[in-house]
Amino acid sequence: MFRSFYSALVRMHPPAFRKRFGDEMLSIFDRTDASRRPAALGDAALSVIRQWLFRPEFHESEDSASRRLAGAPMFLVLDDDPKLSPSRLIAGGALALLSFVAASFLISHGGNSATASIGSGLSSLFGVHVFTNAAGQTGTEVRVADPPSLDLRIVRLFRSERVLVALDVNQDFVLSPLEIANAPAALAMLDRNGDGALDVSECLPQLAEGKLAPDAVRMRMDLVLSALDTDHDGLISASEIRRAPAALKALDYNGDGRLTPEEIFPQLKPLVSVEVVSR
Amino acid sequence: MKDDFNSFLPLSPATLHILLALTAGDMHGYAIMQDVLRQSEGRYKLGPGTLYDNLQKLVRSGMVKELGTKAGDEDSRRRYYRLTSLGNGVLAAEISRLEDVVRDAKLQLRKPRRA
Repeated sequence: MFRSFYSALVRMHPPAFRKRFGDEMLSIFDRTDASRRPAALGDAALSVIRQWLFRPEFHESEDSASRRLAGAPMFLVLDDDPKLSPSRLIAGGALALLSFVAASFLISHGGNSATASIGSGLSSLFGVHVFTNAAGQTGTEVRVADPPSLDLRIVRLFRSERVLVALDVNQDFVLSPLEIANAPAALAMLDRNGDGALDVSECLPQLAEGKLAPDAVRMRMDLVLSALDTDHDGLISASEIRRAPAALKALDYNGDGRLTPEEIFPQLKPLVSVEVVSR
Repeated sequence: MKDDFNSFLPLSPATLHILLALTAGDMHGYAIMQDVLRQSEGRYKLGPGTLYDNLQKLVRSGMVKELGTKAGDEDSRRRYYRLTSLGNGVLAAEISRLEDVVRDAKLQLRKPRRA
């Protein structure tokens, strides 16, 4: 038992010391009388403390020092034992495989997390944002993803509407003041028949096929289209296209100058908690 | 040269005993420990940790040279150590210093004490 303890204490020495004198210390211990072995254990314990705390100049082996002085690039490892046992190789391989599986899982499922999501590209939609509105009021806007799959619903809703896809030039699912100001040019690009106006087939082609309801009704089913079609005749005329920025700004209920998914799709569960903290 | 030796002084008891042991010839660690025990008549017991701590310092400073293992030794783990000329000079300087200390001490002790 003493031999095991002594061997463990020898292994606790700095690698350079252990490599140089470890075998000799064990050799001497093997020749030590049983009555003096407890004292040898105490000596080894003190030696561990002494070598780690008071002999830093001897921690680096001469081999390592000479290689470093030669300027050759090298990797430093905790144990300078050059042998790699099969068990170490297996453990390293298992760790690498586990890391790969964990990274793959995070990438494929990260889009559902509120913040710090991986691979979703929607992290800006959630979290705490500080804003200043047109009236000079400063406030905080807390965005919470509830239910967890909300970000995917926003993506689906945004992409289902040609108007929003055209308006959201940078595809961040938020209409910025610049994108709102450029709305007339963006909407004009949807005018496929060149009549200067946008009808349901140009704005909502997926609904135009069924013809289940009059165009005016279908336009009013969508908040943005309803805002743009100010006279609610089922057609976004040229003049309404020109006035699009003002119509869109009317949807900006927190007055921060931009339209967020929560303002564009009020049918979603309320996500936003807005608090004006200064006036 | 003498100044070079003096820069190592005074030696610690362990260092002094190890250098003294090596004046008898090349030795491995266990033999050094046994010789130190003999020199001190059993009063100074050097443990392996203390021995090799001092040996690594002596090797680094050049006072002792490590020779490695010897073929045919009964224990292949043993390495042998040799006193260098620097170590010999430092030991001589330390003995000289100790002689001065002893001489001064004897003179002091011979002076009559004032009441």
